[in-house]
Amino acid sequence: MWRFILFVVAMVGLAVLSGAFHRTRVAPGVEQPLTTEQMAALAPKGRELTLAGNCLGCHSTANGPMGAGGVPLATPFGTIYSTNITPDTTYGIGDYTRADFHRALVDGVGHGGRNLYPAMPYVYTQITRPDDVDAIYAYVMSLPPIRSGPPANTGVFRLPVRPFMNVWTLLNVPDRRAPDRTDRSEEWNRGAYLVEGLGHCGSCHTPMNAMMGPDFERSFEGAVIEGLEAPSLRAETLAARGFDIATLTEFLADGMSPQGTSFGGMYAVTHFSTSAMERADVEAMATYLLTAPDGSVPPPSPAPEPLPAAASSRLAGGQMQYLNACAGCHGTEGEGTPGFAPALRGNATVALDNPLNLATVILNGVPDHSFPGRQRMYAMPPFAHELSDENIAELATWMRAQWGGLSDPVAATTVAAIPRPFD
Amino acid sequence: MIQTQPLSLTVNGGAVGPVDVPLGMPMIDFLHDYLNLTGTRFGCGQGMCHACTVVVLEADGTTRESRTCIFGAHFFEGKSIVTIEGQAASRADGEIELTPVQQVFIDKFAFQCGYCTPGFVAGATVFIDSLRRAPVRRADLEASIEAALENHLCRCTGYVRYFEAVRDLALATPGLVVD
Repeated sequence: MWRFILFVVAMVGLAVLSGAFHRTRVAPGVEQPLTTEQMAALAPKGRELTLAGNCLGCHSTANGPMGAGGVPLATPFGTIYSTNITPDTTYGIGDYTRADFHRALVDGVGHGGRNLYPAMPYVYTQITRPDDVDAIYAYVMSLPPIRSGPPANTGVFRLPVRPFMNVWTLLNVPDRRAPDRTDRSEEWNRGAYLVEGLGHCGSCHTPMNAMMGPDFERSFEGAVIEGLEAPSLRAETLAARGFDIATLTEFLADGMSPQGTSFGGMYAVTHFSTSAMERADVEAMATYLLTAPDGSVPPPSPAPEPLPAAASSRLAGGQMQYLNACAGCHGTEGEGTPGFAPALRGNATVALDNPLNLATVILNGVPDHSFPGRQRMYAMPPFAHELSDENIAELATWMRAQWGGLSDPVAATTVAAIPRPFD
Repeated sequence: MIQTQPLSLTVNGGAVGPVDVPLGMPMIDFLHDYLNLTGTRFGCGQGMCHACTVVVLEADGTTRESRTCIFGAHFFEGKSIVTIEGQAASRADGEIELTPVQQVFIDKFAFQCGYCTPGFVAGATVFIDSLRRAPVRRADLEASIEAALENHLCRCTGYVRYFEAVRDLALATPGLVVD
């Protein structure tokens, strides 16, 4: 009996590994190649969608050629490098047919039936409509081919583990479709399509399950990724942090708004993707994100007033730290310096419940960032060597009481637990 | 009305204060305007170039660098600092006696315009002082110098001469480098 059960389990396992349960979701008819004229006509639309997906953000290194790949993605199992997606036939995807490209974006399967790793967010891009996949294909195939490949993957990704992605896909990729709600505006539907699909916002802002797949039951509840909290994007939380459709559009399109400036992993998003997209598409994304499940758009909360505790002698030490180490750039009233250092009064990062982002920025600083319209914020130096964990804890405690409406103190042990890459 | 608070500290071995200093006044402004110590250079004003660096003498006898443009004067309450004016000593006969770091920078033509030099002197002084307590292996010397001074920016591209000068001083001073 046991041998029979083992045999069945083994056979099912083999079937899963060989992809027997991997149903293709690719639209019929894509085996027919596109003509050169069709490709040329589709490319401009493909550019906007490629920007929405930030494809080139992950498939280009900071100073490397566009689309040549090589960006490391560290996982607990090893490092995966993004691939060359330029149309070079040796190093890139020059030999991808139209159907191959559809399978990559929709099924997570590369040329020759090779499973892609889920670092490629096909769990999101699968909802992209066939004509839009065609457009992205047309645009990507129009990029200059680059004759270089990324470094070899490390860890388990050196081993022949691609068949196991069938297991992952089976367990983690629900059959998602482009949203089509007749009871919502066209703008909402467009935003939903971009946010839930190409934009793959949930890759960072939705908590992961134990297999590092998105936990769609908890969509956009926020998650900690690469040492920073990707905050909740639920409509009521965004509104509580002061965002309305106009300011969220501003944040995505300009990288800065009264709630603060884009930094960390989000900077790559605003810099390469949303700031380069058409404003109408960005506004549609903001509209979708700020629409509550009942269809209403919650009104934005005003910036928190200073708590009485902020003026108390108990927090005087933290205020003194602020005046000594922060006020020179951020202003004695937290008003910031335009083009130099963001305002902290009304800053949504200061007001996050979890002090992780605030304390991490104080410890490790922020690189200089440029924004559209010749705007920029200068680099913030790390303070890990200048202020003790206790100093930073009392500083953060005072800042949260002054500008975040938060009364619970930040513990020095919380600060101590944050890694310091500059040590 | 600007809120002030009394400040006391030690600058170049001498007691300063208590003196009323505005809250939030950058240390470099206090050095320049209150103490007339204008040798500390204001560079980027954002804590990146390290031209404004001074030496902080810790209570345990160690030294470290601190930037005076991003920290308020009151950050230094009760501390003891050495600015570029406090580096060289005046001998009884009126001659100026440079520190070994200052002398080697001149001997090796380490700087050109000199704007970053007060910061480099502070950084190199702290580095050499750290070698006294924890000597470095010869093979690691260059890397340690780069790690210690890489935050100091020099727009005349003088890095190589600065680094070579520090290396030569470390090698010429007994006890700093071990095989």
